[in-house]
Amino acid sequence: MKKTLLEVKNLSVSFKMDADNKSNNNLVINDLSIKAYPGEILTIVGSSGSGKSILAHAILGLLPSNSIVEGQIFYDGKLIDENLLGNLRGSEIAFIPQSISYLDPLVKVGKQVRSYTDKDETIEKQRNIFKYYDLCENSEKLYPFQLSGGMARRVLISTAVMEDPKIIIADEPTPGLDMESAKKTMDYFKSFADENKTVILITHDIELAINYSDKLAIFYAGHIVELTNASYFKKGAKYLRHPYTKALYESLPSNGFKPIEGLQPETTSTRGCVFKDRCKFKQEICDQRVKTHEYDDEMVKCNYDFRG
Amino acid sequence: MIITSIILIIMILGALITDEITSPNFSEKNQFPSLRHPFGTDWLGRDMFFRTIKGLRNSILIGTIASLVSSVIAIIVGGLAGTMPKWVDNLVRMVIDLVMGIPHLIFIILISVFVGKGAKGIVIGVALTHWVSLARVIRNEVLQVRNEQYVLISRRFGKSNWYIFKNHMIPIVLPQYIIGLVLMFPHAILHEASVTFLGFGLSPETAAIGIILSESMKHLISGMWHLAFFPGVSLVVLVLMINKLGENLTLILNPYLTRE
Amino acid sequence: MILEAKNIGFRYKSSGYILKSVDFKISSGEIIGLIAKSGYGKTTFAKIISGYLKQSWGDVLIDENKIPAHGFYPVQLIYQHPEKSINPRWKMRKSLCENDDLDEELLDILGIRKTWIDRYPNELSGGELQRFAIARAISKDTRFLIADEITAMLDGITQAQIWHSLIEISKKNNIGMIVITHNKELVNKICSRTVKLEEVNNI
Repeated sequence: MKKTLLEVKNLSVSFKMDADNKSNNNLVINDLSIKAYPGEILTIVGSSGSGKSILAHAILGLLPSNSIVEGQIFYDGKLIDENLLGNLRGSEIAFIPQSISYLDPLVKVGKQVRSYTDKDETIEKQRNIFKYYDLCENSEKLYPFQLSGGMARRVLISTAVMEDPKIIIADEPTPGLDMESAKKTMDYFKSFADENKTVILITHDIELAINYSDKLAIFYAGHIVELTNASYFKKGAKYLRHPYTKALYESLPSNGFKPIEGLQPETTSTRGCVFKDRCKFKQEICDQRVKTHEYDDEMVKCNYDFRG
Repeated sequence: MIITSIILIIMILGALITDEITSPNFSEKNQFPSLRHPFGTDWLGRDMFFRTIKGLRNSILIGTIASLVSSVIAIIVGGLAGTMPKWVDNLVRMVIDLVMGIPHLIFIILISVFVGKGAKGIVIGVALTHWVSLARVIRNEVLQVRNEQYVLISRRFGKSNWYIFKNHMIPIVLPQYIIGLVLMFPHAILHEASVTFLGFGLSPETAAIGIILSESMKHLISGMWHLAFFPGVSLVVLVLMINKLGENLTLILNPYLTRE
Repeated sequence: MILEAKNIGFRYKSSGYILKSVDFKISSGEIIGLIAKSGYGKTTFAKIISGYLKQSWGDVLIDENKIPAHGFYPVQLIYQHPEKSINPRWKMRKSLCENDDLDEELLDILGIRKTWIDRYPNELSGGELQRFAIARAISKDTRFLIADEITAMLDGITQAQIWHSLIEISKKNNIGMIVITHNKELVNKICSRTVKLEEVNNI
């Protein structure tokens, strides 16, 4: 049994919308549990605005002050508290954010990647990393706004790997990139995972991610409704257990481009199954409750199991 | 809110304080603060409390007029710089750099001497020096809004310049304008007081804080500390209150500003 | 109706040609894909034919006539990031009705819910905002639409929903669409033909 590197248990995240009125709290992530192993790329997919980014921010302790967090996060078996998180973040757990707006626009990128130090070893390390990610020597002297989309991505990745992290959490790393640059980004993640490290990838671009991922977690309205081996997603809709995963599969242009009706519910704290209003297999029981079936490496939150 | 009401009270009281109340009364001269005269009296027996209030009122009046005039200059200049062709913008920026380089006090003194002393001189002097930072803010806001994607899209929909000005620009520029205006007051008031203190502003008969302070200088040696202390502290408190007002306004207008 | 880009050339004063002698034609009701590698000039071209950028040479014509500079521009461009395309201080209703009164049928096709109309942009998701951006751009005077990576930031189901709506609108209003995307599968699925910018650009 492989040892988990990162484990999230019963995570719930809500936001205080109103200082006085508790019932106005917005529940965004609802009782979520997931495990990530070394040597693996775990991809979390789901509709935009479903809270995937918030999951990343919750793991890294980067949520805004009006957030209410419940549940536990374990790193290498140890429960993470404020102190431990401060030590881990940036060093053992690295974050690759969505955009370069996370960078200081007034500082050259080389300096930022080096975390503002100018020691000889750090400079050499930065230069090696830039070379590895195909960034020419001059790029370290550029300012963030001078970087093209692809270069910006690579700078963000470089910043993350400078401290030799064991886990990389990448939030939407590929939008705006053409096929070639996007594939290259995924190749870097793959080689990172091949060093027995963990990559948690958050994206809505399944078609790209699927060829590089080991595990796929399907995120819908604050819940992970299915966890499966990525290979099943490639094989076809009938290998997928959850109706939403199937619908996602069939909506892709290469698989029929079939949409289903309706939209993601606005509240994640519904009674019963969160997907019930759009599910073609819905039964009465789905209004009351939803079961979680757990297998070895897989999971599905559904009263049924539609694989096969 | 508290601050606005205090200011209003000062304004009203100040208007009500007739010359009679602040007139000399030699039987009560040089008194230290007491219940009857909370701020004491001066060498002419004038009650310092009422003189101070009157002085504050004058300062507020002059500060307000000067700021308003200044802010109008700022809007025009900032607006032009943001909307006219590049050369106008460049010209404006040169002028801004120029004016910014001149020490305000000296400039105001020069202008008020040139225009003839008194209230007119101060108002013009202050107005001509204080428009600068607000103009810059307005210029920047206008330029930024002008280049926002949703404004460019509005143009492709055939919308007129007036539509864009009214619907896109004003909602952003207006709050900045109001805040800038309120924050200008303290500067205007302090400059008025300083220039008057130096003898270039209002005439000595007017009850102005600057006059009060400058005259009190002569009497400090004889131990009449209250002649400078209370008016001085009142001025500082007034300026601090207005600053706080500006901050509060920023907070209120901010949720409106940050709907993004 | 035919939209034609004739001999379009574009360069910035300080750099070389981005577009040179580009010819391009699309008829009403056609859905054409436009592809090229990142940074090549697809968006520049899109901005020229939708009136955001002035070309250095050449003409953009509708039925052989130059398009008037004022008034509603009949070629509407829809961007990838709806958060930037919509004024964050306006309620959605105001943005939606910037050109035409509310068209219930159009809202239905695009899946826009009534409850969203009186909200602010920061209360809606990217997919919901994009639907508004599209609805706003479709007025009685819209003849052609350019969709520049409009679903790149959206998930599979939302993407499928929006494109199906757009195809329906294109047929109903006889609007020609140029689809700019990196997604080859998407282009294959919905476009009747594809233009590779590298092939028509003569730099």
